[in-house]
Amino acid sequence: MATIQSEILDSFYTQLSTSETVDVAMIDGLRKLFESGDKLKADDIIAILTKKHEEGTL
Amino acid sequence: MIQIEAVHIREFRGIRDLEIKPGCKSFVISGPNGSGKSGVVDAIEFALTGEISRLTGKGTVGLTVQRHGPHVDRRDDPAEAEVALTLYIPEANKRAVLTRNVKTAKNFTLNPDEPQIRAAIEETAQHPELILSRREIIKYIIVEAGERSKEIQALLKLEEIGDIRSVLGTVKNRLSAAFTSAEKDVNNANDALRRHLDVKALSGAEILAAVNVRRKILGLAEIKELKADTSLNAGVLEGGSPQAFNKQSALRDLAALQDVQAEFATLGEKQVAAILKDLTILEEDPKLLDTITRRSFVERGLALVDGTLCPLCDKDWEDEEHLKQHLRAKLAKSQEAEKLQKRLLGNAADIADHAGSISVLVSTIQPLAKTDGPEGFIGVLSRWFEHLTTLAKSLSTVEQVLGKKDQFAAGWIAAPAELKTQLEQLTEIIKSKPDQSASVAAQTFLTLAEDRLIGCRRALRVKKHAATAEEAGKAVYKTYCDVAEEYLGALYAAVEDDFSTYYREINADDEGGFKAKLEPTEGKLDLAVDFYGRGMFPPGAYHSEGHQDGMGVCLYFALMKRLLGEGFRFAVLDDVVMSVDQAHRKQFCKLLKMRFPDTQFIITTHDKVWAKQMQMEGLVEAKAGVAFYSWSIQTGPIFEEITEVWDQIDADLAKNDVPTAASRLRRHLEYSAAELADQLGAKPTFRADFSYDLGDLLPAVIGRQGELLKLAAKAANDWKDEGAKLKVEAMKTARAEVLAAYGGEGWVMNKAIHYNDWADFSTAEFKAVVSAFKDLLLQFRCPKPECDSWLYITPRKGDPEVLRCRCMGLNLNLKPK
Repeated sequence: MATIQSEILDSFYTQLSTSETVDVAMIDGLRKLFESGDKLKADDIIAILTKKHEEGTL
Repeated sequence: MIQIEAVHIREFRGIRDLEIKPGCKSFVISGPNGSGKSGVVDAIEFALTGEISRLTGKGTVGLTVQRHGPHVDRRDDPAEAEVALTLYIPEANKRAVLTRNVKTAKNFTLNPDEPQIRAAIEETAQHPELILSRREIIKYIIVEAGERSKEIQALLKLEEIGDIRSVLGTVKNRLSAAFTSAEKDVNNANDALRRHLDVKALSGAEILAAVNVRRKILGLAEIKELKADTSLNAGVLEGGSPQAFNKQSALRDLAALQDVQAEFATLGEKQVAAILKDLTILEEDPKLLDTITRRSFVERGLALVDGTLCPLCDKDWEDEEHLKQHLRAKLAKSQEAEKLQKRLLGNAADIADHAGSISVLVSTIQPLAKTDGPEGFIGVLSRWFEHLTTLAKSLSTVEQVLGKKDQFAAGWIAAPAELKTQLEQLTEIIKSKPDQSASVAAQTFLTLAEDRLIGCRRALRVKKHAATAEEAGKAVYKTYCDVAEEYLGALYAAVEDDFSTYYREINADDEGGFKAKLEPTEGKLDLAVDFYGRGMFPPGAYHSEGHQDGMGVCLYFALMKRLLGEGFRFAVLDDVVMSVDQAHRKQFCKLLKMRFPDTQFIITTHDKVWAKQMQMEGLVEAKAGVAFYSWSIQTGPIFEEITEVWDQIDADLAKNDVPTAASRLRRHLEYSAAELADQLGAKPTFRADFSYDLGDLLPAVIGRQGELLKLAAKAANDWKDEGAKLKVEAMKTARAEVLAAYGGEGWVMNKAIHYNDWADFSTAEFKAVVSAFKDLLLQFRCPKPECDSWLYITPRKGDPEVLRCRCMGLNLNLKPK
């Protein structure tokens, strides 16, 4: 039986997939984190959202 | 989800040994207050969850399942207190026996112990709201909006949504702070490079212009384009190790620090004044300080909650959510303190930024002071640098700011007394250095420019990374909030719709236009209800308490439908039905039957008539119930299973107890006559006080039966419905035989009205009376045992069109051509 929370999360992942600032790896990371059942911690989410990017130019 | 086939309770609460068998169907437990009904409810709850909610919450300090779960005479022997539930798991189509003992209340045994069955039980245990008591229903209606929101969110298990939102909000804020910090680092690094290059702006053209002049002096190739990997001092290294000292650049760095030094007196002046003012307020109001200290403590504790054990005091709570709610409530109580805390930390953050910027300037001077500074100056600068960087990092909590009060009062910058002089001395020393040869100046210029460019690039990379992360954090937070808000909006709209529909169905007679509005706003959930078309008002404004109770029940069902959907297969309604007034009981039964046909309701009530009505209305089957008559500490509930009234009367007569049998028959006739008058639309002589007795009702019902059969006969003739003709004929014949056999309607009426005479009858004589009435009432019931409902007409108002029973086995047209 789908819970209200899981329905919201499913819709959340779908909406995020249309975002230009959140990539597939981040969404997968978030999905795994939420599904793990572990206590949600800001540090874990920050680790997912701060993966390295290409260098800039000066 | 589970359904209950049987319950066996032993030495638990007020019960010694009791077995009831609902058979996975709705079941009613009736009995006066104190007869043990709640013991059954407690037992079911205990078996499913290991808890007894009656022993927790307000006013229950010192009460525990271990000590107060067993029967009082077994209080020292909790192993004797045990509940066994025989369960059916609809989705698995399996049965199992769950046994839980008070001594080992946290665990239960299961036979057979299969994962699917265990999962269904554990899922049920996650829904304590499935056991609803009357005192709980009003918490959805007559409460302050914030409280209602909490209760409903708890019931719908929406706290997790709030928790996720809160963590994502923290993520967003921390990523924004990281970006702001990275932005400042870029500015500081750019300033250092710009100062060294001695250019107004850091455009590629200006950088290359400054660099290429020096490269030309050294005979190095001109750099035409500044790329990500461009090295400004490419070629310089080839001749040996470069020097990092550049006289002109050093003088500019010294000048920059001296410029800032000139502003030290006013730098952060306003913020420091505000900080000192707030710190004084805190010192003068120890309670406020205590609240803030506790606030920080509670905030940290809330973030650390992971399970039922409080991270602050080690108290074991019944569940994690209650613990969190408790901590959140503590935070909510300290709004004034929160305001001061925000202001204080905001000002402190500004000071931290200033300290950070000054420390960057100091860091550019340190190498100069080390090689060329006056004696001891490098030590002075190092200590000051340490002070500034430490200060910048230690102003993020109230306790930290409070600990720095003396520093704020004395001057937070704490510039060394000799700073001005020694900076001037160092400047003179640098100035007095012989001018570097053009080639050395060019070489050191390029080397330092490359160092600072690398610093800029590093800072820029960090900033870009932080910007991307910040954007992602914002998007994740906003998306979640939007999705949750939209979902909850739709959810509340659906709940509002179901709630209004259910209430209208129960109160169709006088509130057929009822509607409700649930409006979520900032952690609150406002509820407004229509009052007879006069507008929308809070439910407690004009509606009677009975109606408010009814609203509570309807809102509960609407919420359960949304929460569990088709999984809503079981609920215990502990005295909840008493919220429904007499005039609306029929509709209440209909609502439960029609809207929740697959749900097993275990219902307790102290009103035996209500229990009977549930059976008559088909909400519970004829024998699906148990009646508690009284209770004693030695025996527990004294009860008998609900049986047909005729079986009970036969039992009385078997004991030659005519008075009891007569009383029971009289009450049954009173109830049945009222019910039939209503079902058949009989018209007794009107009484302004609505106090109809058996003498008013029974003749009217018998007369009405005759009228309806005449109508049915005419309609059958008109429509040439041979089947209906035969049915009506058979009913008329049976009716005539019943009435004629006992001397006509008058005999029946007189004996019923003057039933006091019955007490003088012999058992044999009274058996004849019973038989007469039994035969009479059978005329009004469907003969099919599985239906056994009263006949009724439809529509209820106006000319009757059909005479039927619930199963439609009898369905006679009453409308002639």
